[in-house]
Amino acid sequence: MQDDSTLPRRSTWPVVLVSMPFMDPYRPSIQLGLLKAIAVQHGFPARTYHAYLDFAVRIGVEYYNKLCQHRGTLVGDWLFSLEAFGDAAPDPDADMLDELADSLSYLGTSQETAKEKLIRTRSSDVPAYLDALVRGFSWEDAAVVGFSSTFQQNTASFALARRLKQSDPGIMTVFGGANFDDEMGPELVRTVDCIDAAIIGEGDEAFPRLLRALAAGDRLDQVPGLAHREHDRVTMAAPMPATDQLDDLPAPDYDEYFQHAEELGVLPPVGHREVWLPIETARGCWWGAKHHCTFCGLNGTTMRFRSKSPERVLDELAGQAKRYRSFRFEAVDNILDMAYFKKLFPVLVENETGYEIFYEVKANLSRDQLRLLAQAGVTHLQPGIESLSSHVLGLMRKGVRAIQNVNLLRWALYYGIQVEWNLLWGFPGETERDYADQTAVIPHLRHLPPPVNSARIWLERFSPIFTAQETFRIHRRVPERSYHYVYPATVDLERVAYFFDYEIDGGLPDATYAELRCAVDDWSHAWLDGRRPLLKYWSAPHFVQIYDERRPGREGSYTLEDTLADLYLACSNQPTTAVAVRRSLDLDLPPEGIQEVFEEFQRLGLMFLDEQYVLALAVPAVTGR
Amino acid sequence: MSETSNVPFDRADVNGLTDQLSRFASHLTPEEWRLLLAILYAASSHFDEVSVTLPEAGKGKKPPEGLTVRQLREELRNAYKPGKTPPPGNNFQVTPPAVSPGHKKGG
Repeated sequence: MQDDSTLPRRSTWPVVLVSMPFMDPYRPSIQLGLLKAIAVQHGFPARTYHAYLDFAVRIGVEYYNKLCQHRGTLVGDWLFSLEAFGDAAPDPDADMLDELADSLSYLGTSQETAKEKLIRTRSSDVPAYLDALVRGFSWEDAAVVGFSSTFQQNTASFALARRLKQSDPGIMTVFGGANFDDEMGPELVRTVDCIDAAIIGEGDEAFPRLLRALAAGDRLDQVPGLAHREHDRVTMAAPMPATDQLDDLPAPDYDEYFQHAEELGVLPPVGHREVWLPIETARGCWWGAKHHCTFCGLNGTTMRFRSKSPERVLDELAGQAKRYRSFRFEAVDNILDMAYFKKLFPVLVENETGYEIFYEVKANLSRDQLRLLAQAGVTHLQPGIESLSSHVLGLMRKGVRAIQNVNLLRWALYYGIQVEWNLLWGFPGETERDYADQTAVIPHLRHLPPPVNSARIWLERFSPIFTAQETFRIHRRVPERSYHYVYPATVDLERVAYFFDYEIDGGLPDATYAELRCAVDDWSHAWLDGRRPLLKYWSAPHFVQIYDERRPGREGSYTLEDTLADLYLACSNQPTTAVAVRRSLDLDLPPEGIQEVFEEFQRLGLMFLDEQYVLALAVPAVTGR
Repeated sequence: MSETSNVPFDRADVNGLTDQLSRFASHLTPEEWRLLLAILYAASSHFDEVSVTLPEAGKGKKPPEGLTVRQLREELRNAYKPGKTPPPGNNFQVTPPAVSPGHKKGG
């Protein structure tokens, strides 16, 4: 709000913020919502256009969602590449669909049908959609059009920007978002004509500075973090430090998303809404700042952890719920602020609010913490589980053991928290034994929620495996093959790509993971059936009854009395050791003997052992305690 | 050995010695204690019956009298009975989502 001299002129710099395909149609864009609120706060008229909704409706939401949820191969970007780059587009004959036919199975049809449908979408739906966007929105009122781009939003954004510039060369197009972080942004500014400027890094302060500079008629090279072309070369001022005071940011404005989604029939206009409202309570990753997980590229250049105060989060939750009649919140944070266990979640419990909240968390949460989360309305978690092998977890610097991962799955299940987690492989240094062991233990875990995704890791820009490829014995690192079918030859893909293909010296072949993949498929299918696998226990002092229904046809019960019951219950709350159990129960048995009993429990599939650590696998049958 | 081989003893001597040794039982594992008693009794050809009982040594909880790791493992193996129970009325299992929120990982 500094430099009040431009205030009178700001109303003459109307801004339109656009989010193009591919974004989830059932969620507003937090990028647009936040930047609009910031622009308005600074006196600039701003509108948002969630244009991905129009495309979802045009091609069908189900088909759109499949394209939207896919990562890796750039099918979404390919669909818009002809419109984005015109004659310079590299694949007018749709060769990519033959080359990558094996990557299209997620569309749920035969390869031939998928190919025909994609070609039709590209040649017919995409141009008609862009025409309709240009015709159907009052662009003439816009001086600046801002595009937020993450994952596969680049070419759709370029395609619209290109048409807008063709119809009105005076419109200024500004890009930003994760796809423009670091060297990606300047390279796109250099090679894509319809981009006038791009904000590199966080835009909370740089974007209003750009608008003020435009309103004041100042030179743009004074705007921090702004890359723009000047005399055929790209100039860029140093970015500002990442925003520290998240409490100072306004709450995102989603008004136009809901209005547009209801106009298009994507959302019903009455009653409360089931939409997950994006909310940002923190940025960066406190774990990654200390021990960056080797495969993770999510935080780009802004790993430093910052969070909103609990009071601010409470206010924002209440305000947004009331404003949008939705009580579901998706925290877009990469990791939960552990301080919230003291000052946020207890207040949510005390207030008896009716929210449903999603968070991504580190997987080492205790039973008490999960209970508190559940009571506070955290109904969905994405824990960073990633593996059931402590050796592999060590290789990825995850900071948890496999047994902690299993414990989280147990207590999340017990407290009714829905968990979505990934099982990943392909880490430098892993062994065949790591995967044979995981395959062997999965039958014991069938009563716990299976992974929603199991696959080889991607090589992502910004991840340690990317930045220190020699340390991780990565060679032949090249941009993922579909980039060549999307971007013109003038674009340096090494500078633009986020996903890369690679080889690891001494890496394991895909066949190594085949049995694990089968075991996971079997586990997932068991959860899709009407009656899911069970392993639960009832307990009284010195007495435990376990009911095992993990395998159809092999149902049965275990009755444990006295010492056996005490041993089992001592290992239920959290991972422990034979030495600790001996001490807590004051047993006369030696630790080695107790360990032997634990191993017997393990053989029966009733306990999970992880080197010296041990954990009961059954979950209490009586809920909510 | 020649001096000790002729030392006379009877059941009362063995019981007395067992009582004395029971003071140190808390320093031994159940298996060690069992072994020690078995040696004592086996060494006496005067006794037909070799029975082993664990002393009331140590403090706090401990396994029931005579219980060993081997017995615990055996007990555990025998703890199983096959059979299916009716479906529970309030199954707390949760449903995986159709579309997961959060950042996707892995390809």
